[in-house]
This record gives sequence, structure tokens and C-alpha cells, in this order.
Amino acid sequence: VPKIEKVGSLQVEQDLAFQRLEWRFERIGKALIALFLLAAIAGVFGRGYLSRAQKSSPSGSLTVQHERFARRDAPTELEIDATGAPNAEIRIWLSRPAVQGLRIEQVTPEQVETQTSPERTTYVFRTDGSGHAHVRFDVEPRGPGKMVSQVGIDGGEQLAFWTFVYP
Amino acid sequence: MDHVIRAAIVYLFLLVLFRISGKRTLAEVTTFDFILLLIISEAAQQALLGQDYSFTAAAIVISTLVGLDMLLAWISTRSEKIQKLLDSVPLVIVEEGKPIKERMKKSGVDETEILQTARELQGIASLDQIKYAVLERSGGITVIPYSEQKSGRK
Repeated sequence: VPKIEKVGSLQVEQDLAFQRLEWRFERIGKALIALFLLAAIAGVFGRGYLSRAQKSSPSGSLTVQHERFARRDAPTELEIDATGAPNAEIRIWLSRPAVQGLRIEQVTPEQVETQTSPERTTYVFRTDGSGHAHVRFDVEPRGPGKMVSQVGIDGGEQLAFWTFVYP
Repeated sequence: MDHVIRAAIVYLFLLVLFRISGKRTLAEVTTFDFILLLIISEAAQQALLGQDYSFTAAAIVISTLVGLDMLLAWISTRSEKIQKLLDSVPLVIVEEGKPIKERMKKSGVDETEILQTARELQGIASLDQIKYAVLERSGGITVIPYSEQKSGRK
């Protein structure tokens, strides 16, 4: 049975101690909402300054641009710059965690060929006159959690990078 | 299974968010609040159902939300503490004809709102006719005027 306070002739289940706690909770909560929004603007939850990342291999023959923070089922990109022999085939592979953890929606330019093995999936592209190939993977992470992926040029350098996927 | 978890998380998130925003937020739904409510439900809908448009998914999500609501209502009747946590407590903001400014400020209520309720519900014309005003759990304001017959004061 709730204890009912009397304020003058008014019967009311007022609780000033609780009310003060509630005001404090509201103040702290508002600060947390502000922090949450600032973090979102900064890119802690993907798509922002803190989320964009670029990694290059020691000799610079391979560069990956990706997002550190991604969200489940939300589109994100993986851009790969690779250098090889001019006007030739270049074979870029993605490690199994990357291939399993991402739904690859589109590859631009389209690969000439795809080969799969238990550890990796290899995509074959053609380099331009200066030996460059710029490939963009439009992907959607399948599930939440931290994901460490490797990307590499067949017979060449490789890079590891991580992505945190929010639920 | 994951729909139950999703719905429960969304339910709790909204519960906490609306407790933070204070009880006045959706107490009186203005035109803009109504639109806000629609947009919030649209955004929550995606998180609740994802890409799953099946009847089963909708039934699971709705049952989870209604079930949680019933569960919390049931718990509230058993524990006063939990009821306060969920539904807040009423607060006297005008006592014996005196507005309590500090409480009003902290709750985001001003005198014009008390007067509006007084006009709407009781046909009261001015503040000095108000004996008590209470900001209720729901965020609404209730007003008790000085009565001529009973207490003998005016």
C-alpha cells in the first residue's frame, strides 16, 4: 500500500526525495544524450571523421580505405588501391572472415573472375596503363562484433584491418 | 528469438529515453509532438523488424511489447519502488495558493500552463483562485480551487 502524504488538506502520494533523484537522473541522462549525439556526429557509430580509416602496405602497392565502425545490415564501402604490372591481370583477395562477415552487394569495376578457396576469395581485375587498379566493394556487414579482415595482392603484399560492427 | 530481444531492447531504450526527457514531454500532444511521435515510430519500426515483413515477425514484436507492458504493470502493483521508477511520482507545484517556483522550474512547468489547465478543467480565471496544483505522474496538471462552502475560505 503506497504511503499517502498529506500536503495541507491535499492527499497526494508525493515523494520529494524520489523527485530529487529523478531530477538528477534527468540531468545526467540529458548529458548522456548529448554525448551520444556528439559521438554519433564524430563518427563513433560509423559514417564520420573517426570512422574513416586508410591503411597502406609498406611499399605502397596496396591501400585500403574502409570504415572502422559499421552497422549491421547498413551499406558501407571498402576501397582498394592496388598496383601491379601495367595492363595486366591483378588478383586481389579477401580473407574468409571478411567474405563471411560481409554481404558483398557490388564490386566496381566488375571482376573478370572470382575464385574461392577455404581461406580466401580472390577477385581478378585488370590494371590500367600505369599498373593501378582501384576497386570498390559495396558491402553490408552481416552480424555485430569486431571483425579482423585481411586483404592482399596474390603473390604480393597484404594488409590486416579491423571493423567494429554495431548491432 | 532475435525479434523478442530486439523488441525488448527498443522498449527499454524508449522507456529510459522518455524518463530522461521528463514527464512533460508527451503529456499534452501538440501538433508537432504528434508528428514527432510518428517519426519516432517510423525509426523504431526499422530496428524492430529489420527486413522481415512477415506477419509472424510483427506478431512476435507486438506481443513482446504488449507483454512487457503488462509485465511491468503487474510488477508496479506489487512494488511501490518499481512503480515510482517506471511512472514517477506526483508533485505539488502550487501549495495553499503559493506556486513553488523551484519545483516548477525543475519540472519545466510555468504558471501559464497551470492557468491553462485551470481554465480548461475548472473554469478558473486567475492564479489566486487556485489552492493546489499537482503535476501528476502522467505529466498532466490537476488543479484544485479554493472552495467557498467547505473550507470557508476564499
